[in-house]
Amino acid sequence: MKCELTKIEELSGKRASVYSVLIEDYEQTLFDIFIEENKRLHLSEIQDIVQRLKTIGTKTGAREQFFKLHEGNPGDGVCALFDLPEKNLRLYCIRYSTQIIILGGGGIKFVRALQNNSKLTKENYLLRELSKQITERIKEKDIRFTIDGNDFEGDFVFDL
Amino acid sequence: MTNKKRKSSIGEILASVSPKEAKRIENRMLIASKIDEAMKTKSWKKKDLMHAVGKTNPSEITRWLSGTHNFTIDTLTDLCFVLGVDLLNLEERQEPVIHRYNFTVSVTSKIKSNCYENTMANSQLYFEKTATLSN
Repeated sequence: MKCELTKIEELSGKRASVYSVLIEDYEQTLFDIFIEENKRLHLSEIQDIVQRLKTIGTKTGAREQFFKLHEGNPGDGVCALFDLPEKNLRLYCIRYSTQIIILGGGGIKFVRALQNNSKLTKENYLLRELSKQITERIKEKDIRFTIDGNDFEGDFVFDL
Repeated sequence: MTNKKRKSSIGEILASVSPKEAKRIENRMLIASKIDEAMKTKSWKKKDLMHAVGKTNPSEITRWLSGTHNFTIDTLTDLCFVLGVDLLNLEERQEPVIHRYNFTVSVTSKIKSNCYENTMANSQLYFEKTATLSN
């Protein structure tokens, strides 16, 4: 499955660059699909998540405290945007310092164990695999951080 | 793949958030950032803040820092008091941007009469320039 990192200009700003993943033959990124899947039943949560991401991009940066860390393999940066109290809509991301985040998909977290929720498991493992490949690209210098650290540059097409 | 036209409803969602609600969300996150900055200045862990404000549940501090918490004035006042910062003033701070330049300087002397030749290779000079980022 071919996919490409796509910068979300609507959410990116001087504090952080926000990316998502565009899969071949799809017109929407994983984050766009997440919005479509949930906006009908959970509009207020979606509005809150999108506005928080906008604030991260333009005002605060992707500070560690805004995320639930260690949602993937050790050191791979896979995390989830902090859940709203009493809500269960979960969005997975990969965080690279406070300046770059890659948004994946997510869904409703009905049960505590991730392994028991196939939708969330699928979204989570996709980001784990992407993170692994990005780490390889960074090692090989096929992907580099810009001088100000606020962005990526290089080859953004992956085969997951 | 790069030329593909992306179909997104992010703009539509952002437009549907009222300015008042957007400001609320932003302020919660800015307050959380300021609390975190103040903790770092004091080299405090979450536990230190928890004890300072007389709380017993560490998850409450995690929630305060998550940028999703709706603080009461009393809690904010307590936090201002123990952290020594003004959390009620959320004016954006102009943070200095530090530019680092890394130069390699190589010098070869052309005076040969006294076989005087110096090569200063790989001397690295570091300059730091501080500027202020303007909006």
